[in-house]
Amino acid sequence: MTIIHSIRFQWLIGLLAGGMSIASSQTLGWSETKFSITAQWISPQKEFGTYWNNGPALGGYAEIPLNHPVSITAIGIVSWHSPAETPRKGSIPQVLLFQLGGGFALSQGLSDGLETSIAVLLVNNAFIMTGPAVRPGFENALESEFGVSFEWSLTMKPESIPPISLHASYQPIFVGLDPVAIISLGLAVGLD
Amino acid sequence: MKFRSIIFTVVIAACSQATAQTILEQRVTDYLRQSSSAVFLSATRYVPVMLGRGYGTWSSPSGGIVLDGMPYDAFLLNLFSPDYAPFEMILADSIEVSHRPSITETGSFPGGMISLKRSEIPDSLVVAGRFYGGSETGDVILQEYTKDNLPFYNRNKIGFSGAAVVSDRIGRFAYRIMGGGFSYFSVGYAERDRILIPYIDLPTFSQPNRNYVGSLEFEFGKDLSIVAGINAFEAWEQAPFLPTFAFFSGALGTVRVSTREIISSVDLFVRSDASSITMRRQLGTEGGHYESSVASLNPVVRLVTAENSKISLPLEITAHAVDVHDQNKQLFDRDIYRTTWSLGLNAEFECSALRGVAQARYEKGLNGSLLRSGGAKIQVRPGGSEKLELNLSTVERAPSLLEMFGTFSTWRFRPALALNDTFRVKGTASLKPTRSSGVELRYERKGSVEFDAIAFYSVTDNLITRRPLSIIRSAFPGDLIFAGQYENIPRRVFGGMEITTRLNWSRQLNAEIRYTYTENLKAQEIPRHQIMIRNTYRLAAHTTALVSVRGTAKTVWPEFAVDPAQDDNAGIGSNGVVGEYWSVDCSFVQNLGSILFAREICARVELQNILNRSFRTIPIGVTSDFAVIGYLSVQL
Repeated sequence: MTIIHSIRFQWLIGLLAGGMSIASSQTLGWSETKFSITAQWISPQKEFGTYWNNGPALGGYAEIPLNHPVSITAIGIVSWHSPAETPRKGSIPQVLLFQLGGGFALSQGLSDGLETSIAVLLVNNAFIMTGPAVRPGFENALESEFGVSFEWSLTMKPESIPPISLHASYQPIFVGLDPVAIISLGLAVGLD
Repeated sequence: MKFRSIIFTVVIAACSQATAQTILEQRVTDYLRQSSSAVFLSATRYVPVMLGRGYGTWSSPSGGIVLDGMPYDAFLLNLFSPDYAPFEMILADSIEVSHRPSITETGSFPGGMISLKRSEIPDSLVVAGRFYGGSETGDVILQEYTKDNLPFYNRNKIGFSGAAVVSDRIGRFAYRIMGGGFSYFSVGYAERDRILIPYIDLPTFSQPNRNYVGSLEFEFGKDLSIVAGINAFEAWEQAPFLPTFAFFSGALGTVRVSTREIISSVDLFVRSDASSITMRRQLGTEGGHYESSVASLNPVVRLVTAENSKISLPLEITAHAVDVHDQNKQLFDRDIYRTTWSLGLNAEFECSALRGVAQARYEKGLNGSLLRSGGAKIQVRPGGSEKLELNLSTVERAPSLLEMFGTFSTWRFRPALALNDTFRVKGTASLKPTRSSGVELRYERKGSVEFDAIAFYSVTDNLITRRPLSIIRSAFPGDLIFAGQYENIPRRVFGGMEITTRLNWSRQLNAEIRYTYTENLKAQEIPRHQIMIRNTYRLAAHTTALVSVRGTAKTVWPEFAVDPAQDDNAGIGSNGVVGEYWSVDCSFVQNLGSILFAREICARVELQNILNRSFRTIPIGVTSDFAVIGYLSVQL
């Protein structure tokens, strides 16, 4: 746990830095909030990746401008992960992973119609076990763990169609005895 | 200290006055832990028992909870906690702590009191909510399927919690409805605080400590109000009365009616407090169940109600009852009924810079003895910004029904004796009343540098406590088990001081430093030194940061000291010492303004114990560690 906590502490510093970045903000630009829907491919890592497969994900993003180039960003994504081919496969249930998170994003225009951004989000990950392999006593098990997601995105803003973004993220999740992680890759379409 | 002032300290500038009605804190004890020198003691962090300045003991708390001017009297198993009162922070107008023996029109409190006061019902429709949730550590949900023979491991989380309220005033009629739920869990680490884990089994592994609170309030004009409230719970805890850790469920409720001027110069307060607790059977030990109720009729005759002087004559008649089920042999083994009464005299006067209060109370206690209490306060304001106050008080209290008639037995196998040994905690019917007397001298100065100094001295005679007859660490499951009996102990004397300084450096930065020294030679379960430093930074018009540092000196608990020869588990014993501990917390508060239907939304992120220093508040129990907590308050 000590290692987990020391890692966590480093991320906290990053989070605090994110918080400090809103110091200059005065009001939130709610009316300028941008929404987008996303489809992603999520690759579980470490023990999560050993025993569960990659899975598809659907979700949405919201981005609320603070003082440019800083914005608040929020995500809600659900993904499906079937048991991987391991000797334990028969006793491992399918996982529905719900990610709900929020954090700060920093964006930079690259050229007309092209923008990149990086973001740090604190994410609550709810693991819902489903299927016949769920252990007795855990039928309705819904457990959640915090993770810190580091995201990069590249957004194209063509004039004739809604903005399209390429998203990539890495999120360590502080699960139980050993942390796990997920890598996400996907596309998002703006609802402008 | 007034609650509103805290809001301005914690949420300073980030949220407006309107949002100050909703609270970005967890529970009352979380707030008091930051804002007062009260010591909260709990084995699982979240069922705290308050200990004041030596007037009571952990096994026999002597403080009181006062709810809208009337005491709440139906706490169970000496689990004395404002978090178990039928009250919620979202209703709070003020939360005040008095550490000295106190007398009010409706009760006497030898160990001081926590006064919880609801705000007035607003004149128009208000819908508001406050919500929070925190991080988890140690959840093994994935590893349950990927590792063999996985032991139960620490699960430490603050579940999604919150409360909502709706209120309105229609002509002379006003109502307010509140409901909320709170979820906490901390199992502890097998290798360092082996307390809860041995008791856990599959059904209880996912069962957190929970509270569900609700209340209904009705007002008919300004003279009649009716309040009903409930706080239902389930919790793991080392209850002060019991010799063992246990899982409990139950509820504490109240119905109160206040009428002003029911006849000329007479106010009438009626209350009925009731509670019920069930302890689960565990490790071969029978559980138990009992119900407790207190019904009171409390007329107050206002003899003088002038602007500068007031004299009142409070009277009270109270019926106390303990009900048990047939065949119940644990906690209480029979029904008990008692009636008590009291007669008081309160006088207040004020002239220019001088204010005085005198109080006397004569009552019949639960053990039939006649009790005499009295107090006096003199307050002088030599200048506009200075105040000097002297408080003298002496309060006599009878033993509670639990301390007289309670009983609980458990057993553990003793390898050295090759038998099952029984451990019993029991009350003593012949306990004498306790007398707590205190002197408090206070100097307060307002301004850009605020200064508040209190010197206190207390004497307690015939203090009631549980004397340990034997303490062992069991061979299995390795828990501490007590046998003991409630008794009076000789005179105990405490003294000390509390100094608080508030520095308003600028509009952007202010700081508060509070240091409490308690001469604790007679009872070292009270920390000798406590310090709290809080810095508030206004980062922007709607953004505030708060950093606080809390330190507490070591405490010594003979009740938890195990002789090596009595340690059947490891043979090394335990010294019953809780080492000094420090905690650094950090928060950001952001006013998010109005969104859609919400008039105001305010958010707070709190990083508790960011240095991840493991600490506990009593020798047994789980340790606290790092946590992230998010708060949201919404007003429609």
